[in-house]
Amino acid sequence: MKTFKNVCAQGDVQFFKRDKLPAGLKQDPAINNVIVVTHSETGHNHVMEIDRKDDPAVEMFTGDNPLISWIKVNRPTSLDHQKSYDVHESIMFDEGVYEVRRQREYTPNGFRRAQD
Amino acid sequence: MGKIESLTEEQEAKLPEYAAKWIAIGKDVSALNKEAIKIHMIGYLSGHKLNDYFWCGSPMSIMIVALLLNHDSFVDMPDGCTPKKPIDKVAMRNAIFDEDNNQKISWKELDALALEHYTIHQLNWYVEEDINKCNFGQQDAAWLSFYHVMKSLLGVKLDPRIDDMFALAEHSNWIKATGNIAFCSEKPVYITATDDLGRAHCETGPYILYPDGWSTYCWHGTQIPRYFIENKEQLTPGVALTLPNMEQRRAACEILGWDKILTELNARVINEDGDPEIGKLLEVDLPDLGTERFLQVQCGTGRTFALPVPPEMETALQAQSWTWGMDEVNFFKPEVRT
Repeated sequence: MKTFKNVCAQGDVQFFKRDKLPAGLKQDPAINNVIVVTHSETGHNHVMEIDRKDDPAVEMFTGDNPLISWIKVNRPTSLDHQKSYDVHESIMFDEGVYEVRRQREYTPNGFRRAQD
Repeated sequence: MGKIESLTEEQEAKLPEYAAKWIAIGKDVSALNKEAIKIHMIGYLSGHKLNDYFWCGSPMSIMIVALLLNHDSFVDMPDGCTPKKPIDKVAMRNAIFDEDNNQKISWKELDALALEHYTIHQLNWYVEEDINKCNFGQQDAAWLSFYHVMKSLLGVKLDPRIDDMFALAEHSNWIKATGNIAFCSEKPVYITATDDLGRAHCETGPYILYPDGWSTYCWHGTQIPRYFIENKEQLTPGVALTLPNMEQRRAACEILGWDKILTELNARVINEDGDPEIGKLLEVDLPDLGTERFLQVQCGTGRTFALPVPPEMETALQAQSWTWGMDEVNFFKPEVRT
């Protein structure tokens, strides 16, 4: 499985390793034992398994910007793409804090998240 | 049981048998085994026996029929859950099904009936919300093959209902159980050949067609609107590049061919990065919309996408950075992109 040190991308989501979480974030709950890092309107989400509810391998946080989230990886965890074809290969994350940026595209009214 | 780190040679040698079995289940177009469905639904529902089974002509029909015959179950619907006009459940049932509970009208007729009672907005919301509440069936062959290998080949202990789920995949298509009623879709009339990577794909018609006439179109695994294939004159370069969904936009661009798009829209290359994952900044003349800029870029899977970017972008790197909400000074090319 692919690994990285500072910056990686899986499809339309990019990750930047940071020193710490910013203040004022809200934690997002895991659903069915996974955090959905990026929702896809066709169900091909990018997800990470929390492994154990009481001691999660990864936690997700959001602030005001819907295009940016944060994850705190407590144990090495893979980022997986829930698709059975044209799948983006899984990437292994080491412990640490990562800024998550979702790709956007231009519209005459401003911009919107790139939808897949 | 500990984590399985690797397979033995013997286990690996058996994987193709599982793959062949489940691909055959996924592509099966034979008639439903209704008695087997009833038996395994009891097992799947942990002993609960359903009162009634309705046999529908397609997965879309099970969704719409479940709404029309159980409309009082859906309370979260936008615009209010109340139908535009009252539904007489007995009359509705008789209009849709014969005495053996087999759907007797086509998908088009059922769709028209649904639109007499609900707005298109309500129907879209309901189908998107509720489709995930369907049972496992033939359509889940890919996932169930994984669990079959885990259970039968590797000895992993699973939910005891898994054998009923395997059997339902073999004998049924989509099933939606609501209260004491199950709405079951017939299997497709045909599923066309897939592309060389096994993805849903048909260049000449629907990829999958059901007995009541409902069908869906696919291009290398991406679901696309019917007109991409059946009314190609409507799919112009201008339409292709302005589709809101980028997977469909990519499929439309592939169907038309990038050469045609670039030629017909008088595309100019404003800047090209040496790295195809950073991309090529294009300017095109879109009919009725004027001049627009696009970043033509290759993703980690090797496919080419086009992302609209602001008109002030001057380089591919600047445009690539903008799509991530950054400027090119703070943008770092990923060490790994998949």
